[in-house]
Amino acid sequence: MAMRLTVQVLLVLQALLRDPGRELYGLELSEETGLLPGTAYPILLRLEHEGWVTSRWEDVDPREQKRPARRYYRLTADGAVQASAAVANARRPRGAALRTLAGEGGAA
Amino acid sequence: MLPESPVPARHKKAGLIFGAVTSCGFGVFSLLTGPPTRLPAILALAFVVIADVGIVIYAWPATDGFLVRARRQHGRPVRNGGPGGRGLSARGLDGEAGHVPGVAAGRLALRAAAWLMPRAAGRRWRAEAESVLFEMPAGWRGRAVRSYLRSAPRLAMMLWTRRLMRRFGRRA
Repeated sequence: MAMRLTVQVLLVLQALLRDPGRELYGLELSEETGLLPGTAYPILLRLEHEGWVTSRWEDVDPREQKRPARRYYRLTADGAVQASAAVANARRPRGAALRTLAGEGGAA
Repeated sequence: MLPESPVPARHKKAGLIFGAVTSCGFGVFSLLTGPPTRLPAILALAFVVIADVGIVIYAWPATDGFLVRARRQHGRPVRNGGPGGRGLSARGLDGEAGHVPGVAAGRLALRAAAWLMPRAAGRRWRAEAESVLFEMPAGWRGRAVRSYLRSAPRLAMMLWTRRLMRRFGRRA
């Protein structure tokens, strides 16, 4: 099944693409994308099902850390390639539309 | 999000829960006293029950968690905040997050919403939600809980569909 690339999905991909090797957890992703965590979670799950993203539970003792373990997400190698293409594709039509508008403005 | 109105939140919540329970009871009564089990009746009842669960889950965090406070006022222990519970409370981390109105009730709602999903996925969803909520600034938690609960029915649908497709896909 092909990924439906909504604005929210693109925001998540952009956040993950900033440093493809870096792992982000739910709260960091929310802060970077401006999405509420409840909105980001289904997107991450879909990306994971598609193989674009991989996730793991943080290996810590919650009592020692005095906080629950985090779930970390990062792009897979294949996911990084596909995400870059998807984000680039999403930007292209807007640029083309602006050039068209500028052309029309210039011709008038 | 429920619209702002002069009606107190607890009255709204009581009304929603009363409506949900009444319609659910009416559905069961109709099914039992009506013609012998027919598929449309069963489907209608299933729809009513699912809708009612949705209403209760939605109503719970949308208000101020008055049921939790009411229980505390009557001197009985609050289950999700006290020792010996599950999740964060069992790990002794519940108190660290501090009490935020609506969030304690929201945790109950998260637990209820997790039941809508396949077991393992529901557990993972709830664990991650609790982990994020724990580290989140107190002022944001209410909105975050609501966002989790709003996305839960759709997520449950997605997870069950995926699971059924995988199961039937394998057999085919």
